[in-house]
Amino acid sequence: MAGLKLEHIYKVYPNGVKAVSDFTMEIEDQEFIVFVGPSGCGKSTTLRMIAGLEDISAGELYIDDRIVNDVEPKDRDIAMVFQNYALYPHMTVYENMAFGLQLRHVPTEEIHEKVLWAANILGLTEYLDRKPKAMSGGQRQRVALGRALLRNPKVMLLDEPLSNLDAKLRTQMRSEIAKLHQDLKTTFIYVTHDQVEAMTLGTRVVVMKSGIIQQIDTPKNLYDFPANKFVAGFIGTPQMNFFEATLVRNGNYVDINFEYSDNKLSVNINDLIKVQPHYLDGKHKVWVGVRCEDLSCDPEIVNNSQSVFDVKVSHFEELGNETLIYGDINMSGDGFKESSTRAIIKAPSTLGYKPGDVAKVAVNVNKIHFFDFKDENSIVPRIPTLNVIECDVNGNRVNFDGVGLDLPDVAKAKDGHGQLYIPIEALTIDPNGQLDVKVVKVENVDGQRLAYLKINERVLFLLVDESVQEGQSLKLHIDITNITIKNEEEVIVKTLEKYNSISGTFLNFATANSNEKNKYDGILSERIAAVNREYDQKVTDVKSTYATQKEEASRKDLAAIKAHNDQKIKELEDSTNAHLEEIKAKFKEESSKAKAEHKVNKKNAVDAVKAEYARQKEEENSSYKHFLQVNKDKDVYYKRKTEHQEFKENFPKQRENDINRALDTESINYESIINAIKANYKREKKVLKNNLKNEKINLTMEYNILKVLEKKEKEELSNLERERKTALLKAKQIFFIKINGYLYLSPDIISNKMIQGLGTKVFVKDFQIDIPNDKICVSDSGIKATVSDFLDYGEKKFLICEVKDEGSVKTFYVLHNEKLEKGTEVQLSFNLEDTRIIEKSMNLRIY
Amino acid sequence: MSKTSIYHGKKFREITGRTIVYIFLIIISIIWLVPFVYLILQSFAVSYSPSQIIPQQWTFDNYINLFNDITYPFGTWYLNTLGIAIITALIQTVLTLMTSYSFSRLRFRLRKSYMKMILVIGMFPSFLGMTVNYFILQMIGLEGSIFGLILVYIAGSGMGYYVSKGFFDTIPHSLDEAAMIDGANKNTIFWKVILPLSKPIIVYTVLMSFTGPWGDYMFASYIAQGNQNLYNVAVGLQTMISKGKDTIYFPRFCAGAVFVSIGIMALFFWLQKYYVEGVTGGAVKG
Repeated sequence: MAGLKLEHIYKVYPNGVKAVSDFTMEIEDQEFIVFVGPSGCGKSTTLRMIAGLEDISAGELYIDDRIVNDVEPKDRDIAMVFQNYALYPHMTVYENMAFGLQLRHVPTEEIHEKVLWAANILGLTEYLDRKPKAMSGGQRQRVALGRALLRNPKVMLLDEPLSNLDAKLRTQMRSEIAKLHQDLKTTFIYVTHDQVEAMTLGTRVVVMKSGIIQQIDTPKNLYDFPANKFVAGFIGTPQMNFFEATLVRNGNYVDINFEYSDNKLSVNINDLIKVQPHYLDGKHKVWVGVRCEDLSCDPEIVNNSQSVFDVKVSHFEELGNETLIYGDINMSGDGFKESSTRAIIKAPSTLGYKPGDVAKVAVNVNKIHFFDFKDENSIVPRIPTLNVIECDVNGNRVNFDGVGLDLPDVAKAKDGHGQLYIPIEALTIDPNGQLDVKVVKVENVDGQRLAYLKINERVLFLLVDESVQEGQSLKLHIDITNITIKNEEEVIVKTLEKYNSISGTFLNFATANSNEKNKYDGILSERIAAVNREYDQKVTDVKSTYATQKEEASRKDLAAIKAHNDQKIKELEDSTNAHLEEIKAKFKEESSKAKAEHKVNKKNAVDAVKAEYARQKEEENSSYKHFLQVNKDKDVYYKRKTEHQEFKENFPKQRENDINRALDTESINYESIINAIKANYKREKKVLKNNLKNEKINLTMEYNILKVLEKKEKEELSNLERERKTALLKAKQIFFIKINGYLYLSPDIISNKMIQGLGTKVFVKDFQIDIPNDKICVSDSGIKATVSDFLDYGEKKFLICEVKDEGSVKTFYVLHNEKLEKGTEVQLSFNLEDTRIIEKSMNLRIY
Repeated sequence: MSKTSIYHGKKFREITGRTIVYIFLIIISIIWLVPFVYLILQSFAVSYSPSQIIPQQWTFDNYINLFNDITYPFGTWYLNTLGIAIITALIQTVLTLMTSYSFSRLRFRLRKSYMKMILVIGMFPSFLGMTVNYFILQMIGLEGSIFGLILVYIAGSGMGYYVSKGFFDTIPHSLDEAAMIDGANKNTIFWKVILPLSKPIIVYTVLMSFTGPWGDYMFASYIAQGNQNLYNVAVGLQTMISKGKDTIYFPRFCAGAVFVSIGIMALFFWLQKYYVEGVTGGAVKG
């Protein structure tokens, strides 16, 4: 039982196809995660990478905080259920389930216990001695489940386990899997293309498309707050209605103008408060998404609604308990094709409409979804990260919504009109802040508290803690370095870059050391010495422990113990042999009895069929005879004659079929009986033999104690030697990152990720290293830079430096409190662990 | 009325069609069986007369003399052949199946090129390499030895991978993967999961690799270098009729031939039930 962590996982095939891109997700213990998406979206590939059946091209996979990228599937402690069951056909159900444990050398009794336990849970107890071919699809899938859960794995992986079953069985197995998850309390990862399975089973659902995660959320949130148009359309049947439209703000109202239609909705701004403000300009095209149950034709609702538009009804789909009304918001559209004007409305009945009628349809405005027309992402974030407000700039002062804000001199803002962009992280609650706001609402979004803060007319969003309550007045501080003012496309005030980018390469020790004229020899020898010290100590410890143990043992009278134990072994052997004979005799007797019974049963079955057919033949013959005597009509005669002939022709075939069927049933029965007897015998034999073996080993060990100790000591020492070797190998693995001609010792955590992700290719790739501007400082070593300017934002002051980078010159912002003269040469140092590292050519985020 | 006539017409066509097919099959089987029947009959003849299919005088002496005559030690030949064929069949089967399995399941560099290369090399008749083989055997001191012969037979076993690879390809990979997750390594998967499912192809491979050495004449004759004790049945029987100028040895030759075919027939009848039986049922949803 464990959690999983997938970090920036990629699957790139040799032909360059990216099957999975940047898959990052954390799975907690006991979660039921469902990967869902259309075929070819990479969901199965991801699952197979978790299982270890596919290599991971880049990124790390953790199971229980252990990197398992290069761990064999069998050592990952996972179990998998395949779409096509993948049962071993030559083994019985029992053997199928026991196979994995046998390979792990689990004691026979324990295996037996576990198989019975699993069979009991899954209702397979009666079928344990059958072979898979004698079972139905549902039973086979249950065996596959049993095989997986027998090992009590940390993670259960299920790859479309139900798609080979028929609809009824699928529903049944679905609830069984849900129950299994409840009972076992193991982490489940389940792949499916069926959104119903995903929604009903998952605690969280991962929606994927073309190898990219679209959204990870609970089923309810996926339905209510889809992150993009794909998710909105994929989840829910029938599909969500999508219309093209533009949004225009009109005082306290927003007009939704539908394209290809005269329809128009006017919605209160408060219903669309979270829509990113710059979409309300009437120029950005958007997708409007409405689910069919949020549209209504019911006259009562329509009459009470403010938001109504016209739909031309085209046809109906009656589903029994409800009716889907198909129509088009374009009066010349036909409503059959999937288009950006088609509307599907859920209604209790046809409500008296006929095809061609124009219906008034009410929209539930709280449930409308909006997506960007081009990138199709939702423009209604659940937590808005950006506050956008219209503003005027006048003499280095921003005025918005009746509030003025002084900009620092360095901003050098041009006068004019524009939009002020305030990211949510630029706002902090501060008693000395510049803004007075009032909390009008606090919303709970997945555990985070989102506050709606009113200035005068406008609302700002901010994440707050428990102390902030509705109705409270607050003062806000705005981080000036983090705001942007734009007029059309012209930027008036720019946000300071958070990260300074520079390129770097990755070097191994030998290359770096030879480049730097053996400067790093010291580091290497120090690391090697440390490892040697540690292991020398361990070796001495082991040797001394064994020396005392050996001395103790040598004081005992070993010869006497030997004589005693040999006698005991002899007795044990005799009794075991006698027992073995006994069970063998029993086995023989039982199997010959079963065989005899089978023979009788076979004969009986055949006889029964034969008797039945003899009766049928007799009946037909007599009836035909009777007919011949009675009938005088020629036509009827021919008809009856043909019938009779057909009967005669088919009779032997049918009889043979039935006989074969009877024989098959009987042999399946016999097979399972004989398998049970055999398996029982084998099991008992194995247990007896194992017991004898173990006893023998224990008894001999007692008088061979000196030899045993010697062997153990040797083993431990050689283990230590092996460990030392790997530790030395690790110690010798020193890597550097070369930036601007300066070599940085790469921390192990970064080196591991780099090599894990890229293999030996790591040494020929270029990397982009992003250094946060508050984590870089002026010091007496590091990359060389020239100061070009000084920015004073009041509480924060920055140096602008120019850094040469591969022929070009990069601008660096460095948090620094003292002003330095322009042209001063400085050196900048930073900690590699604070940076982001990105591989340039494939744009892989490594660290 | 018309109904019945159609019925009769259909029936009639069916019957004539079948009769023609059966007559054709009977003729073909007679053509195939005649040499064999002739061989059996002649093996019981006292003396050979080509014009008579059914011998005038019957005797069982040919069979008895086969094992008693010291000039032509048929018993030794038979044991030689049996030994060579069994050893070859066992080793060759294992090697062929292993090769096929690796071609089917493992992904390594130049896999496809190897497969094509083997196919192309296999198109050359094997006797092209006879001289070279002989010198190689001489170098390692195995010329004139049964083991040399066995070595020649099994050296190219991997080249017969094609049919069994085709068979392994039909066994779903998910079985391998399930076993891998269950904790099996490639070796265990091959022996414990795949081989038990491959009875038909094992039988096929055993039969193929058994019949090769069983009826081989060319390699056997030049490895034996005239040493009678190293002959296999094919070489031995050939010397029997080529040296015995006239036809006095012909009935005995026939007896030997019958005896040879009995061995291979017995093997076939023993194995055929596995050959037909498919065992993959129930592995995966098909």
